[in-house]
Amino acid sequence: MHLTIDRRRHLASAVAVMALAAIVALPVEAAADVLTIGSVEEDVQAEKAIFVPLCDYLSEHLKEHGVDEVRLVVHTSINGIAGAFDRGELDLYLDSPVLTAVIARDANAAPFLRSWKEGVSAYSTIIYVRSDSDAATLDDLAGQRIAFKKRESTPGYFMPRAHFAAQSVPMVELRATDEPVPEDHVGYVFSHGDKTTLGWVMTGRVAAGVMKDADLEAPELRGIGDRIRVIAETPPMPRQVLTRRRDLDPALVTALRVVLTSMHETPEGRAVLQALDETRKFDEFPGGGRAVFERIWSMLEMVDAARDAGS
Amino acid sequence: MIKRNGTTTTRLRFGVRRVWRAATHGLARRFGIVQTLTIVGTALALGIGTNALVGAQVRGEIEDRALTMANAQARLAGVQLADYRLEDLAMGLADLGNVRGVTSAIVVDGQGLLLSDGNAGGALFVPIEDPLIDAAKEARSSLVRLDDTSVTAVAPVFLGGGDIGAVRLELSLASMYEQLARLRRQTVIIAAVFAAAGLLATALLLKRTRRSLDALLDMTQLASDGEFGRTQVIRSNDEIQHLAVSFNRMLLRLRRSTVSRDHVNHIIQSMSEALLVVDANGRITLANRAASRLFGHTETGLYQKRLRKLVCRETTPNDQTLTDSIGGAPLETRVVTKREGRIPVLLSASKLPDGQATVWLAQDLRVRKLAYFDSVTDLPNRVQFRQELSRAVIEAQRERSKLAVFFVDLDHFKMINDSYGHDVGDRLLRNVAERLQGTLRGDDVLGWGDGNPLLARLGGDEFTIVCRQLATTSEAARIAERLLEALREPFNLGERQALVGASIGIALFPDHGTEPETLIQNADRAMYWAKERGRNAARFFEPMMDTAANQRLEIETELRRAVAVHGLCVYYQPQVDIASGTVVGCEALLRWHHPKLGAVSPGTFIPIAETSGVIIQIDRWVISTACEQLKRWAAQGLGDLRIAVNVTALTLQQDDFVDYTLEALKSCDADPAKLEIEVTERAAVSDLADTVRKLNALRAIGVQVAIDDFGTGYSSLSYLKQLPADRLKIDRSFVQDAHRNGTDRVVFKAIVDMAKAVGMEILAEGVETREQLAFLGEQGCHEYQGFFMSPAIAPDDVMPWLLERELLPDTPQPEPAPRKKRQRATVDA
Repeated sequence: MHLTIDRRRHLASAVAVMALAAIVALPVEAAADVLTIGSVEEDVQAEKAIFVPLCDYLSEHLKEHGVDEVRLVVHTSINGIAGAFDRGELDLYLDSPVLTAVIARDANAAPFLRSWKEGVSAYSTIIYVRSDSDAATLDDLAGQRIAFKKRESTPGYFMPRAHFAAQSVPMVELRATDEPVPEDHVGYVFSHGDKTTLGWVMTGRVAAGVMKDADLEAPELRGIGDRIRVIAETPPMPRQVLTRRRDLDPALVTALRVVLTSMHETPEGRAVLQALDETRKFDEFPGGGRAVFERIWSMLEMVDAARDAGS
Repeated sequence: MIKRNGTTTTRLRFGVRRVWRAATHGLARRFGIVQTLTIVGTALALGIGTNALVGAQVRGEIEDRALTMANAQARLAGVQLADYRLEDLAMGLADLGNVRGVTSAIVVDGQGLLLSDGNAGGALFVPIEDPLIDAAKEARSSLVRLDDTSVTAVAPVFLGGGDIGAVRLELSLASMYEQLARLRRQTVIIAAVFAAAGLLATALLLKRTRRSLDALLDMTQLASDGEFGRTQVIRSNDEIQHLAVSFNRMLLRLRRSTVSRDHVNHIIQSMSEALLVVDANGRITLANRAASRLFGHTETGLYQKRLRKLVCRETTPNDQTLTDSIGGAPLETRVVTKREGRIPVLLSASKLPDGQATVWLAQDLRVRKLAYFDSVTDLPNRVQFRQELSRAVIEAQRERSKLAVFFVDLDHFKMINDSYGHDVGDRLLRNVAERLQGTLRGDDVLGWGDGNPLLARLGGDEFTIVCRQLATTSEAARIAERLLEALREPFNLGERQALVGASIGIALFPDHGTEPETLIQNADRAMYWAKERGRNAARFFEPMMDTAANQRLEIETELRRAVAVHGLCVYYQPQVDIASGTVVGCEALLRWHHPKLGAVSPGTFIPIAETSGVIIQIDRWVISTACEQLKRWAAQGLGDLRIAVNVTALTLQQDDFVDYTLEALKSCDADPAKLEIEVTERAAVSDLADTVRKLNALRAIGVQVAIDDFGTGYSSLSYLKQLPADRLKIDRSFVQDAHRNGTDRVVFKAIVDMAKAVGMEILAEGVETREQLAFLGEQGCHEYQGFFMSPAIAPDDVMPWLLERELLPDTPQPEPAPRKKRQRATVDA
């Protein structure tokens, strides 16, 4: 079963609070000389603090390309973004790979550039158990419980869930840590927090847990030391993806690519990037954006299929 | 330009100095220091106290707050901890970490592993070693720990009775210290502001106060210079205003009550009495106009003169006399003046605080008169007489002339004075003075030459006369004879006339003395001699009178000693009832046998005892002795005998006479009815009312009273009627010849009739013959005493005498005893 727009709506509703479809402040009608950047967030002011420097930067550097103005459009739901792409009212959208992949699959959008959010180009999810656990593979977790972070989390749920599916390990969702687990299934329960997950693993409430690979280096876990052991790691996933309107003027796309991928080369551009969630730079997808999105679309299908099968 | 700058600099320097002086001297400094110390001290005390209080309070609050937060967090964390929802724990702790003052908040599990530190980045699942956590878990109660920099609170978390962890919260005290530091700064600032404001207020207050005080100071300085008219109105509404009002009031009173120096000078200069101020050396430092007029010197001429030089040496012989007059009685003296020579003054002196003395010289006639004249007769008094006599003696020495001093003493003056009162006595004295003056005034008659005689009254009934420049002794005799003659004439004293003779003694210069005192003394002795020998006569002084006077003095001395050592004794002369012939009593009669002088006659020593006052002791002793004798006789069976005791006027006048007599009777347990008090008519009437009162008191308890020597005095029936007496004793002078002399017989009969008229018994004294006794019997006399029966006999001889003659009461009357040799000592028998 494919992840449909309805599915995507379901995902988006977990990211953003269902709210009124009010579009904040900015003109919504795209024009030849206006470039529009979209965002999903309830806190408009916070988003403006992140994106306005980028808008200004682009506006400044795209004038010679006929762009008089770069605008930020903040939507309150992912559906708004998809609709805006479809109506030609939105030109750029920056978000996680899964969401951008879903929008690109269902709306008038295409992957554009890779964003090194927080200085990271990609990440993976590790699956770990307590050191004294007998489990060495995912299959060893059959009949036991694993804690995911939350359903909306790409590294905390989507990626490991997809990894389990890819490994053909049947899973069943549990509502609590003390709920019984079929012997041939791995029961998963949402902890709603990496630390909680760690706590459950450390205290034996669950047999395994997941976290981003980078989190292993987090200061808070330096005391864990060798008390946990990693038994699996998911394929890497881009940290963040910039999508564009699929039918955007190629010349402008070219101009944008040049400007964006060179931002990190100037102090001015680095400052703008720093404001943009500590992004180190924009660059091209090593294997192309399309390949990334297709892997994600595949993972979505697997997860949906596995869930449909387990449910 | 340079000069101007210098002037400006100098002014500035002086100005700064003045301000500095004002700020560092006097009230400003004191108030400033005190106020600064007060404010700073108060601020410090408040600061320290507030810091301590606030510090303790804040620490307490922080502790409570820490405990409250830890407990709250523990309650919140219970479920999260049980389910190991570390994100939720972290979220709660992160919220807690945002609370001001919270520096650390952690949650540990039951094993003490760190589960959350509120996103502080601490390593999770590492053991937290904290004794407070262990203690809280063990105590199962929240605990708090306080150190210098923080407060740590731990709240254990239990679930189902099991220990599942703990919340530890740490709050920094930095905010508290900051708060305290801020408080200190604020205190210091407030104190500084108040100190500055206080000092400024003090400066303003002092400026105003000093202005008021300066005004008061000016006023006091003026007042010290005697200017009381300048007052100050100060409206400060404080104590200084009250002080100024009081001071103004005081000045007003001073102005009313105090005179200025000029005014005092004016008063001193306008005085009519001479005033001198002398220093400690007796030199004059100030003299008023009256003193200048008195001495005839200018005021400056008197300056620095010695007062001693201005005072006569004969009246004020030495400096000590002047010194003694300071603060004492006025000194009668004479001063040497330029115009009038030596004139009498009353000198009084008083000491001044600075060691000087004021000397007042009074010439007031009234004062002079009081000082030198007798107020009754206006004759010169003793003082003036002595002064005049001194001058006369000096004059006589210089001129080798004679002078005579007459000492005139009236006869029986005391009786007149006592009988008719002092007014009559004074009138008599004035008449005597006039008569003497009249007699002395005729120079030509007396042939006294050009020397005026001086008549003076020394006191009482004593007059003195000094006659100068006598040619012969016979002149003095003639003068005395004239004086006696003049005084023999009756004196008209209003409704009655009085015959008063006089006794005159005469002393001549230089025959009987060359000193004024000697002359007066010898004239007195001569007068006494004349009085003793019959009165109404004049006698020149003779050396043997001096001897007699010495003898009299010797007798007085020995008499006093005899009284002290009981050298006197009492003899008893029997008193006989004429009808029965039995002895009914005895009269106690004094006898004195001196070891050297031999037997001294009562007629000799009793007058001396009376004049010297010893008679009081003697009378009392006789009363006591008589009482003792009564007791002894009663014991011997002679209880019916009475004893008559003579009491003189002086003794009778004593206030305790009655009490003494009663006490004597009581102490001897003697029968009062057997004691008889004999008083002379003269003694009785000297103070008739007092005598009557006392005699009645004695009679009230049974004591008998007899009037002695009746017939020698007034012999007044009226007196006799008033006197409470049982018996009348007729003087021997009326007894001796009454039986053969017609006049005496008439007088005797009259006396007897008077006695019978007032109901008194009659006792005749001095009965010596059978004829006399027979006459008495015929006249109705009741009793007698005298040598016919017996002279006075010794007490131990009374009983033998009575037994021998069988004269005891109720025994047959014997023949009168053969007449014994008359004893020398008796005067009454």
